[in-house]
Amino acid sequence: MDKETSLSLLLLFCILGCQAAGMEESPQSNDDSSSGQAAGLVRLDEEAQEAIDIEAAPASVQTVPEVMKSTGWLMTIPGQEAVMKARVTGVFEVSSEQPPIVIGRKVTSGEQLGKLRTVLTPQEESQLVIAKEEADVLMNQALVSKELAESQLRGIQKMDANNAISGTRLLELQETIARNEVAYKEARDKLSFLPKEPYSDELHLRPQAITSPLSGQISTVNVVPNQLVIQGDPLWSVSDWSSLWIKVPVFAEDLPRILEDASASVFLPEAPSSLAVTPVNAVVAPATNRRSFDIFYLVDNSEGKLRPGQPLSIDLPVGKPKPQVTVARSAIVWDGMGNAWVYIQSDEETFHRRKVELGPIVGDQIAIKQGIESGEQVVVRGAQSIFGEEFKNQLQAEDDD
Amino acid sequence: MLSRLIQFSLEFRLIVMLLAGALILVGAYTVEQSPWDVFPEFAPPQIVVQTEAPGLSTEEVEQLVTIPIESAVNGVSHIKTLRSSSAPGLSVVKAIFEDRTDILDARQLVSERLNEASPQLPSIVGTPRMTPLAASTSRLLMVGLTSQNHSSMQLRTIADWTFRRRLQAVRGVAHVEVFGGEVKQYQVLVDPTELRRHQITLEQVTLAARNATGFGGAGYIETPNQRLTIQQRTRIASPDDLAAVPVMIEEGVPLNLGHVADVVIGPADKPGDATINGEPGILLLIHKQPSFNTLTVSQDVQQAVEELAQTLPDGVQLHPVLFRQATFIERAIGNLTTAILIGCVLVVLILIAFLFQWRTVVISLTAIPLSLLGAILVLRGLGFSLNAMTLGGLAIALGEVVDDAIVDVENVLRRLRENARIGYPKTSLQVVLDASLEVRSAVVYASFIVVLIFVPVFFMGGLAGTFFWPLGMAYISAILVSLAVALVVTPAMCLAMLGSTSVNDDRDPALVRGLVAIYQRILPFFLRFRWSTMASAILLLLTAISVLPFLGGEFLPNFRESNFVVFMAGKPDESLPEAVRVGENVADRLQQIPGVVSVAQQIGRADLSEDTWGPNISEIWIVIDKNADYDEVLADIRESVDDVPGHVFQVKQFLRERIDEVITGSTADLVVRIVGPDLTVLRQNAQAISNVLQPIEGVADLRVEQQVEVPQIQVMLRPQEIARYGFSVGQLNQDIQTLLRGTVVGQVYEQDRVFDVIVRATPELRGSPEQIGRLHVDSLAGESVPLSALASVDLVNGPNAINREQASRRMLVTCNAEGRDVVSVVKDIQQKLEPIKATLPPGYHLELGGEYEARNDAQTRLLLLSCVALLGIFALLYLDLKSAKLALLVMVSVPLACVGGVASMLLTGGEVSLGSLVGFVTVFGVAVRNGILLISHYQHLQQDEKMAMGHDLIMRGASERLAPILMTAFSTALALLPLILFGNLPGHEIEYPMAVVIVGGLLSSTFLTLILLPVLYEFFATKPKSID
Repeated sequence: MDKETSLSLLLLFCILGCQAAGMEESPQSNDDSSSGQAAGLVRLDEEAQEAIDIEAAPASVQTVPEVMKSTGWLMTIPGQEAVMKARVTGVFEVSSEQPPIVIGRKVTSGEQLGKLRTVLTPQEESQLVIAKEEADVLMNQALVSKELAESQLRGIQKMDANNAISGTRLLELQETIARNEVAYKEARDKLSFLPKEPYSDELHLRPQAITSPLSGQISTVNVVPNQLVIQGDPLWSVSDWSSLWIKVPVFAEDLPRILEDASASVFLPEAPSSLAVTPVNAVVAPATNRRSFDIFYLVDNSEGKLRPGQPLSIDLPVGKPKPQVTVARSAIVWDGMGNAWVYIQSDEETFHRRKVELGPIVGDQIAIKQGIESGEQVVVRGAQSIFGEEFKNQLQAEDDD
Repeated sequence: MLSRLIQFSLEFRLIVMLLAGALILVGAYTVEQSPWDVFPEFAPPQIVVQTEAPGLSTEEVEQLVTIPIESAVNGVSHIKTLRSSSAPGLSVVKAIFEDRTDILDARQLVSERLNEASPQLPSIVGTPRMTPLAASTSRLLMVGLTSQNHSSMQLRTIADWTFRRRLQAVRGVAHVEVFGGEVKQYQVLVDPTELRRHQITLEQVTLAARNATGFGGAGYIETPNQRLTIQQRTRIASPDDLAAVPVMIEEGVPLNLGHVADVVIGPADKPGDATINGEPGILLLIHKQPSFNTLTVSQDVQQAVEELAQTLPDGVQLHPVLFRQATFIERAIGNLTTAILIGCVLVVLILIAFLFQWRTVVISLTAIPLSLLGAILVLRGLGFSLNAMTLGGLAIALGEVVDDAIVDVENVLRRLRENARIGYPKTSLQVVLDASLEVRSAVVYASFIVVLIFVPVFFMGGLAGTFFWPLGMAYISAILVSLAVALVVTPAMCLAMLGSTSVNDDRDPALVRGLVAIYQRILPFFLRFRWSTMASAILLLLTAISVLPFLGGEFLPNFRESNFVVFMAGKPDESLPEAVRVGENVADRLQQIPGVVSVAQQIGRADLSEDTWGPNISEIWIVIDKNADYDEVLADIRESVDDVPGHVFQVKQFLRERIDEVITGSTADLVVRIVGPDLTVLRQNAQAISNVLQPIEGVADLRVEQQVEVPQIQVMLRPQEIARYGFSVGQLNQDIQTLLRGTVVGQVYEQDRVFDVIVRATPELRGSPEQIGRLHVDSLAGESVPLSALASVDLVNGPNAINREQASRRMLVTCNAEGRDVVSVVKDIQQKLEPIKATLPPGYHLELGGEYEARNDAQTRLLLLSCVALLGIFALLYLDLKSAKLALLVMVSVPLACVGGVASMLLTGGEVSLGSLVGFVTVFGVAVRNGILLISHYQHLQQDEKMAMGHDLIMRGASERLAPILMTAFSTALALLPLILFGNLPGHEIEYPMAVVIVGGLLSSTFLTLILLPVLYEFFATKPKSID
C-alpha cells in the first residue's frame, strides 16, 4: 500500500470515527449533562483497574427458558367421575363373596357392587294388602262364577243338548268359564308380588342390583352394608384418576403470552423433577366477573400418586427456549430513563458503555436480547465504579448536609 | 489607691506570700480537675432533627416530612439559619441558633413543636427525633470488631446489646453509633405464588405474624395471702416457634406460617456498613457529651472497652483504637507544655543573664505559675474548658507575664542598689514602695492597653470569634492576674528577699554593662542622624504596608493529627455492596502504606448518626503511626486514593473536617448559593454559574452541588385499573410496601434483647427492577394479579437529595481560590455573577459566602474595632503621659513595631491567618508598653530628678531602660521560641503563626523603643520646652 492510500484511509477512518462518536453522543445528551470523556467511553489504566479489582468476563450463550411462574391445581377430568345414587329406598346388601367396598377399590365398568333390598312405607304396605284382598276377592269371584257356569253347563248338556237356545247359552257359559279362569289366573299371578296373609311378616320385595358405570376407583363411600338408603342418596363415587387435568388460573392479560402448544413444567412442592404434561385445548366457561381464566394441562397419573385438589407449581411457557447471550446480573447498571447498560472492555484499558435489552433471569445470570455478542468482554465486577468514573465530574467529595 | 495597695501588701508580706502559695496549690488542683478539650465549642448552638421516612422518595420526604417539620421548628425564637436535607428515606432538619442561645431551652422549645407536628406526618413516617446533644468535636473514640469464625450478625448483636449498652452508660458519653454487621431480624419471607398455592392472602400472613408476637396483660390473681401477677406472652425462641404459628385452621388442620412462608433469621436492611482493615466488621463510634473532659471520658470508655474485651467470645477480634481524639489532645498538650517549659527555662536563663542574682530570678519566676494558675482559675470560673486555644493564650501571655515582674524587680533592685550607695539609706520598705510606684503607671496602663487591644478579638463573632474568644480571655486573664501579682506579690517578695541588698550587689551584671556600653555608642549615632533615622523608619513602614496586599492566607491551619479522614464519594446511586467492595480494596491499598496503622471505613449512615448520607459516601478513618513521617504518609494516602476510579476522595484531618463543616454547611472557600423553588431552574443556573466561574483565574475545585438526578423506580398506581380489578388502594399500597420493604409486625424478646419480626417478599423476588412488575398481589375477591396490571413500574430520574435553607430550596456552586488572593477572585466572581443575577426569574436570588466570608467578616470587624481600640489606647496614653503630643508620639511610632512581624511572616510563607493577626495585636501591646515605660521614665527623670531636657537625659533614660526592655523582649521572644522551632507539631498549629509574628515584631519594636523613640522624644519633646 503506498503512502497516499494509507494517508487517505487514515483520514477516512478519522472522519468516520468522529461521526460515530457524534452519533453515540447525541442520544445520550439527555442524561449526560456534560463529561470530559466521550460519552460512554472510559479509559482506565491497569493500575486503576486493579485498585478496585475490576473484572470482565466473556458473555456466554445459554439456552434460556422463558416462563411465567404460576400455581395450578390438579382436578379430575370432567366426565371421569360418577356419583352412584340409590334407585329405590331400601336396605343395601352385599353378598359375602364380594370384596368390601372401600375407597380406592378398583372397579370396572358394569361390575356389580351390591343390591338394594327395597323397604316399603306403611302406606305402601297397606296398599299392597288392599290389592291382595282385591285379588283374593277377584279370584274367589272368578272361581264362584266359573263353578256356577260349569254347573249350568253340565245341566244344559244333560237336559237338552240340541236345543237351539241352549246352544247359545252353552257358548255364553263356556265364555264365562274361560273369562273367569283368566281372571283367576291373573289374580293368582299377582299373589307372588303381594303379601301373604296374615300380613304379620315383613313385606319382601325383589332386591335391586347396583353396577358401576365406569372403570376407576371408588373415591367416596357413603354407605355400609345393611344400611337403609333413601332413593336418590349418593352411595359411592367412582372416579377415573388415571389421568388428571391441571387447572391453572391465568391473569386475563397474561393469557395471550402463553404458548398454547408448548408444554409447561410442573413441579410438585419439594420434588426435584418436573412432570410431563400436555396442554388441553378446552375452554371451560368461567364464572362472570373474574379477572383470571383457567387453562388446563393433562397429566398422566397411572401410578396414582397425584390427587385432585393438590396444588402444583407450574412454569407456563411464554417463549420457546432458545440459546441467548447471557451475562452476570452484576454487569447491569441502570439509568433514570429506564435503560439498562453494560460496560464492554474493548481493549486492556478501554471500556464502552452499551445499552442492552434484557431478557429473562436465570439464577445469577440474565439473558441479553439485544446489545452484545457472545464472547464480548463484559465488566462483571465494578461496573458501577466505571459508571461513576464516566460521570466523575458530578461527584463531590464533600459533606453537604 | 495603688500606693495603698502596694503598701498594704508590703506590710503584710507574709500573708501575701502565703496566699500566693495557696493560689498555686488551688490552681494546680483546678488544672487537674478541669475538662480538657481539643478545641473550645466552635459550632454554634444547633439542633438536628432526623426523621426516618422509610420507603419515601426524595421529593415525598421533602413534601410530606421536611416541610411540616421545618415550618414547626421555624417558629422557635433565636433561630439564625434553618437548613434541611431530604434524601430517600430520611429527612434532616438542622436549626442553627444565635450564638450564646441556651441550647437546653432551645431543645425544649423544639421538642414541644415536634410533638405538635408529628401527628400530622404520614403514618409510615417515624417519629421526628433530635440527635443527642453532642459537642462539635464529639467523636471521641472508634472501636471495631471483626471475626473469622463468627457471623457478622453475631458480631452486630454483641455490638448492639453488649458494647453499646455498656458504653452508653459511661459518664460523659452522649451516644454510640454502630455501623456494619447485620442486624438480626426474624423474617417471614413470602412468595405470592406460594401464598396463592395455599390460598392465603398476604394480609392473613401479616396478621398471623403480628398476633404471634403480641402479648397480653392478664393482671394478677389475688389469693388470701398473696398477690400473684401473671405474665402473658407467646414463647418465641427460634424461627421454628414462629413458623409453628397457625395462619388459618382448615377443617381442623392448622396451616402454619412455616408452611406458607420461609421463617428465618435474616439481616435487616442496612442504611450503612463498615469495614475494618479491609474486612467486614463492626464499627462503634463513641460520642462525648459537651462539657465533659475528653481525656477522662476517653479513659473511662477505654477502660469499659477493655472490660468488655474480656467477655468477647473466642475468635472475635477487638480493634480498640481506630480513632482517638484524646491522642491529639495529649500530644498537643504535651507539645505545648514542652514548649512552655522550654520557654520558661529560656526565660530563666535570660533573667539570670540580665539580673545575675538568684533572688530576682526566683521573684520573677514566681510570677509565672502565679499568673498562669490564677488565669486558669479565672477561666474556669468563667466556664472555659482547657483546650488548645486557652493554653495558646496562656503561652502567648507567658512573655508579658514575666515582663510585669521583671519591670518591677529590676526597678526595685536598681533603686535598692542606689539606696545602698547613698549615705542616708531609706528603709527598704520605703525604697521598694517608691520603686514599685515609679513603674506602676507603666505596668498598669500598659496592661490595660493590651487588654484594650484584645477587645476587638472578643467582638469578632463567627467561627473566628469562637476560636479566639477563649484565647483572648486566657491572654487577658493572664495579663490582669499578672498585673495583680506585680502589684501585690512581687513587691512583697522583693521586700522579703531583696530588702537586705548591700553595696556588694550594686554592680550590674557584666552582660548588662556590656550591652549598655554598646548601646551608649550606637544611640548617639542615630541621634545625630535623626532625620535619616526617621526617614528610614518611615520607609520601612511604607515597604511593610506595600507588601501587605500580596499576602495570601487561610483562616485556620491544618492540624497535624495522627489520624486522617478520607472522604470517599461514589456515584449517588451506588449500592452498599459496591461501596463495601471498593472500600475494602481501598483499605487494602492504604494498609500497604508504611506508617498506616489501621483503616476503618464507615459507609452510609447509622441510626441517629451525625452523618446522614447515602451508601455512596464513606468516611475512611486512618490511624498513622506517631513516628511516621506525617507529610510523606499524607502524600502517599493522597496518591493511593487518586488511582481509585469512579470515586472522588478528600483527605482531611478530623478537626479540619469538623471546622469546615461548621462554617457554612459547605466546606469550600467560596460558595455561591442559588435560592428558589424549582429544582430544574436551580440546577440550570448552578450549571450556568459553574460555566461562568470556570475561566476565572485562581478558581480551583469548582463544583456544582451533588444534587443530581439518580435513577429511581417509580411504582405509580393507576386508580382505574385498581377499580377494574377489584382492589382497594389502601390494601394495595400496604401489600406493595410489605412485599418490597417489609412490614415490621412485632418484636421477639430474647432475654434482654429485642429483635424485630418482619414480613416481606423473598429476596429473589425483589432483587431486580424488572421483577417488581411481576410481583403478584391479591384482589379483594382473592384473585392474584401482577403488579404491572395495576401500576406502571418505571425507572425515572429523581433528585438524590433536596437541600433547603431558610425554608426554601437552594443549590450550591463551590470553589476554592488557588494561586491567587481570595478577595480578588471574589471580586471577579461578583462581577461575573451580575449578568446571571439579572436574568434570574422572579423568586430566585444568589448569595455569595464560604470560608472567605468568615474571614472577611472577621477582618472587617477586627479593623473596625481596632479603630475603637486605638481611640481608647490614645485616651489611656493621654491619661498616663498627660500630654497629647507624647501620647500621639507613642501611637504613631507603634505601627513601626509591626514591620518585623510582617517581615517574619513573609519569611515563613507569607500566610495571614487570624493567628498572625492576633500576633500583631500582641506586638502592638508590647511596643506600647515599652514606649510608655521609656517615656514615663524620661518624664520621671525630668520631673522627679529634675534633669534638664537634652542629650544626657535622652542617653541616661534610654540606657537605664535598656536592660528591662531587652529583658522583656528577650524573655517574650524566648518564651515563644520553642513554638516557632517546633512549628509543625500537633498543638502548635494556631500558635505558630502568632509566635512568628510576635518574635519578628519584637525585633522591630525593640529597635523602635531603643532607637527611634529616643530620637523622636528628643525631637518632639525639646521644642515645647524651648517655647515654654
